[in-house]
Amino acid sequence: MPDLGPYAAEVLLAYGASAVLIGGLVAASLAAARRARRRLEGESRGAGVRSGPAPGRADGIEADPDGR
Amino acid sequence: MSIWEHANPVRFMRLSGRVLPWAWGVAAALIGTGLIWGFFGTPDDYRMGSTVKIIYLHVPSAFVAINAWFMMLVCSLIWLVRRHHVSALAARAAAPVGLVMTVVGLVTGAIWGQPMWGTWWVWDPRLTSFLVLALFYLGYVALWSAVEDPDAAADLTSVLCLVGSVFAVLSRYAVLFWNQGLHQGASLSMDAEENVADVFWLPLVACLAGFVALFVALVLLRTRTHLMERRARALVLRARMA
Repeated sequence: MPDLGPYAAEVLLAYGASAVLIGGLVAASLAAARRARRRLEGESRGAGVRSGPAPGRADGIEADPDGR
Repeated sequence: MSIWEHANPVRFMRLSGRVLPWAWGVAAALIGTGLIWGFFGTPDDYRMGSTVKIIYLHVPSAFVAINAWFMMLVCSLIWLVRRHHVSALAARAAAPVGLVMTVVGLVTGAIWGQPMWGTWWVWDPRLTSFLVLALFYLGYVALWSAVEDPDAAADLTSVLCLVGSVFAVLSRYAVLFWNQGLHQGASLSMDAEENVADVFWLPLVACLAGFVALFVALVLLRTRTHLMERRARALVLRARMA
């Protein structure tokens, strides 16, 4: 640990606050992605039971007919 | 292959699925290297002491915060002109990332300013325009959540993005055309005389590149999330209609 002198508190506070904010954003984004994937898999299974699997949609994402 | 073909959700999911692990890896490697190098391997500044180490967080977060809005502006224009849903969702995905980076920039700036300027905050042109940019980010995120119809939300937020671009430009260039205020001039410039000292330069560049890679990774991940949610909603609606 380097000697931060009289400004140690400020430097460590800046690094700590940034870690909390950016770490929180990354964690929240990963959790939301997991939730969305689980929901999509659930709905895709339901849709598969009801109407059969959609062709050519291995990842469960459907393209708009005009590519949008 | 035209770039517009990647606006197809299937192609976007395929491509982003391949790019995403690399983006995470590059971000972790560069941010880790830059921060460890900057924190442990660089000396104190002769005027600012050890607070100069805050530069490795403050400058990259501010850089991403401002440029994230420009990325959202491009995506919004593509949505308004060509109506590509991936584009609108990419802008939506970037907003919380830009908001957090703006808050990191404001918080680290306040913590840095207190010992150097003797105050946490001052109504300096750059700081004020940056705060207004943060409020625009908040408004943008709130507007996406408040409007139920996704196309209407994309339309409204695109217009908001166009308006907010004024403050993104102000945040970027306020130090150049407003000579009052406490905030220093640009830390990064093509003019070597304006740049930070060489000893701080390389770790700062590593952190900058790392934050950009982190932004790319987060936007890809969040865009994929929005696409999956959109698809799940479509499946629910289809089931209801069947």
